[in-house]
Amino acid sequence: MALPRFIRNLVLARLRADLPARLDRKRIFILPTRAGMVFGAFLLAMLLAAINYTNNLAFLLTFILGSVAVVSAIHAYANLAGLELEHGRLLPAYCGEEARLQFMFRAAGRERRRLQVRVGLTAAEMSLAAGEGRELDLGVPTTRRGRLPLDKVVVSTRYPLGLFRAWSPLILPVTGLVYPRLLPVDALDWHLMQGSGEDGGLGAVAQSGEFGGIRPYRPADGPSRISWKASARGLGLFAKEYRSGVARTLVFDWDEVRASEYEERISLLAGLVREAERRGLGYGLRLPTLFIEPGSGAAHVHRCLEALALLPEAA
Amino acid sequence: MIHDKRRFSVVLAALAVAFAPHLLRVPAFVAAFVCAAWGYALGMQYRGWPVPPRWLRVILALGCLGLVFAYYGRSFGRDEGVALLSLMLGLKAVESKSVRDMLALLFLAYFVVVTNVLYSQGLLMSAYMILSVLAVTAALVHLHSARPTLAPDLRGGAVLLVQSLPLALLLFVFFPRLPGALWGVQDDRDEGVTGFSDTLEPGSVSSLSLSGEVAFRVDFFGPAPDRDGLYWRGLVLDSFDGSKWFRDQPFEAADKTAELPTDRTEYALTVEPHGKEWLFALDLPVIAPRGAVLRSDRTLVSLRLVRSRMRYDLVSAPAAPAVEPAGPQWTALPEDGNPRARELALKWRGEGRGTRGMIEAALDLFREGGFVYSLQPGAMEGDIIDQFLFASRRGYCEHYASAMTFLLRSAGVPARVVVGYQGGEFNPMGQYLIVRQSDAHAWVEVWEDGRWLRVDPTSVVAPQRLSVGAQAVIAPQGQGEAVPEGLRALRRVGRLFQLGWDAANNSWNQWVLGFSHDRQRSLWQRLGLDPSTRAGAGKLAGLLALGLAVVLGTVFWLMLRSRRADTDPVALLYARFCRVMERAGLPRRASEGPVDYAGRIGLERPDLGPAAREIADAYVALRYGVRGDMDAFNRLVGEFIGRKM
Repeated sequence: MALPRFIRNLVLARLRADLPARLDRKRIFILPTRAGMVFGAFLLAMLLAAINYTNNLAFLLTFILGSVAVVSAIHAYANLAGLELEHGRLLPAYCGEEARLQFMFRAAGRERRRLQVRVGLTAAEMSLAAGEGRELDLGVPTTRRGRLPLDKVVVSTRYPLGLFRAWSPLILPVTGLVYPRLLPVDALDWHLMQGSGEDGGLGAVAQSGEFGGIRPYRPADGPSRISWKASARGLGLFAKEYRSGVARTLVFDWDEVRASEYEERISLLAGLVREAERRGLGYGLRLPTLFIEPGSGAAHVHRCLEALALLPEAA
Repeated sequence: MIHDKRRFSVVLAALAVAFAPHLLRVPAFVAAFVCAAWGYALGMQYRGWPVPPRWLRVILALGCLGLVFAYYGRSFGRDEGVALLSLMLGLKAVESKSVRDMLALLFLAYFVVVTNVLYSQGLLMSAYMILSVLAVTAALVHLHSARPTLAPDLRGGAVLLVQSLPLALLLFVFFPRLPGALWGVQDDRDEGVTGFSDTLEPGSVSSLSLSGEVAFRVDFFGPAPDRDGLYWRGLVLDSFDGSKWFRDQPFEAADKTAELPTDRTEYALTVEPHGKEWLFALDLPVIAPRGAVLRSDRTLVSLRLVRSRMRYDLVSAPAAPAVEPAGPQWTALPEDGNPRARELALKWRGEGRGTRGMIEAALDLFREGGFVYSLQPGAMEGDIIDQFLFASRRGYCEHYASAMTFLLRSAGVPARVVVGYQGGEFNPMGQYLIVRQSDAHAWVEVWEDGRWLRVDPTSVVAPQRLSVGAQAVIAPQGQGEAVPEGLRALRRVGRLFQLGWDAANNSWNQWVLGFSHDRQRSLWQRLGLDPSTRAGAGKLAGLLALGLAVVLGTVFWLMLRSRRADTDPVALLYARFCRVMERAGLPRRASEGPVDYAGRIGLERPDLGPAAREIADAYVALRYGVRGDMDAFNRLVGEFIGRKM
């Protein structure tokens, strides 16, 4: 719909919400559903019949059904009103994979039935007991690397009768990061890169990647690091740690990657970064505008992949 | 999928509740089809029976349509509509798979509930309809709640219904009623209505005598007349053809008499629909109510057929002025027949008796001639008056009225038969009089001294008929002694219960079903509002708006108020801890979890830090951990609250 720009902006400004957000009357909308409209037509027919036959029982039933519909609209509104979105975050993902969108909803005051949370094309449903908090996990498809602004989030409900739909659109200050698309690293790439390491040679690779113990899991660790054995005791998740102190370091150079295209180059570098981390090596990145000192660990992977993700588009 | 099965069964159960009253009303093949279709639909859900193919469903639908038309012929009315609706209910159930189908089924169910109005509007049926609305609403809630059990949704449906009732009542009272229909109404609700006809022959009144159906109810605005003065005038019959009395002369409207007699009775009469045009009034009505005409024989006739319950205000006076003076038609009889009766009448006349004497002679005959008041007089043919007077001597009020009128006319005294009701039962629960079909009666009017004199021959044969009622008179003999005291007490209680139920029905009829254009007007006027003036209409609109605001505001408030999580002791205890900290100047921030909060408390109030940390740990352990200790948590919070801040 071609709304004038300033009206669109006005509406968008109204929908903007900070976290934690609370659904209130300023952002809850309500309209009859298609079933509700059919029901309305049916009530109108009944009313006409009641008037024509001057039948008071028909009047009474019509008014009861109409009032039930009106009251159900209030119930639908109350099902949303006061719902709190305590936090929401979008976890980084490789381009082409789904980014995990995590919400924490809390049902302040009352029970909530059948809330639908929709972002773009993905949706999930939940019901909350009074006061209950609930994590909601949604997958957001990614198509290009870089910053991923969160789409409009719509929380809606048709409870209790399906005659009305109450919904609340939220534009949240949540931005995710989409890493470059991963390209599989084949042996030749790997070989070339090792050759161009800071101090050359191939000898010391095997030293690193030794198992160094376990520590509590952090979300940035990635699933491959989870120590399932340790986690199975039920005291939380643990991650395996690898000793990499003495490992040799590599620097992946923008200019030396065996790729013909700009995006391919970025993807290949991302693949190398991940491969190196997987092998427990130290590695750095040399990009046209940026040099990242060698290092390793979850934070370092993120730093490298972020730098790659945020590279400007090809000219 | 299991979930869907459950939901489908619930939807079907709601349909069954809505459809139940129709089960015996629709033709048997329709009822059988609906039940079979529902059974098959359940089989589809639970046994995996195949969905009937589309062509079969189309054939079934067309076949059903054809059967209904074959059954009912080409007319289309209430019964045909309900039968079709029932068939749809069956067919739709078989093809229902999605939530949308089930939604459509439930809307149909609402519609089915409403069609009950066409058959019965009694209190019991109305209550059942509300119950059906509850069932269907609960099923709708269940369809949308995704709850595994039905009970909370039943409660949810009830809450919706209860919260909507005030709004519905407000609309009911304020929605403007029109004085008539919008367009022509073809009404087919006349069948099976009991009541007398416009002819009188042996058996026409006695056939009503066992019917306990209510003919009309009366509210007296002042003291009610004595029971034996309660003659409810219906029709005056002027002609006799040898077997039955009927009205031959056209009716004329009564002259408008301006002044009301002082000795008058004012009352409102609510007549049950009988499908004819006549109305009833206490002997003798003085003025015609709205929508009715007072005829010259002092009977009332409605301008429209009485097809729905009608309430009208009346004034009656026993000494209403004479109208429709005697003419030759009041002594007319067939040329021949009943020779013995004629002979007797001529004998009386030869004795030189006046009109008064003639009446006395007839009454003496009934009193002393061995006459019996009976429901079973035996069949009569031919000269029925002679047979009754000289052979059987058994008869009901119509025999006596008929015979007496015949005798008087034979003697040249103008006389006529009046049919109506006599007596009635006063209902102490509702302070009104119930007149039933069993109170139907026939009596005689004789022209004497320039006025019509009411003479009731039944009163000399069975005096109790007037004081107690027909039912008591014709009750099986010997019952009085045989019934033990306990049973009689039980009967009295039952009777009281019956009267209470009738009073409830009467209130329902008067206040809900009878809430007409006129009553709405008078209610508004009593509130000091006249919608025909601008100020009155404004006030009325204001009142309505205020009512709506209060009613809807209450629902909003009810729905939006927070329910305390008082079923959760952990949350309750933690909330107490938070309140204490709030008073101490450190409220918990909305974004803060218990651990963060305890950390901040530790920073800002080092003295409280360790205790707050302990509480947070215990809380987290209870909430998210494996081994929470409720007692320890209880103790910790208790100690914390008890300490000096």
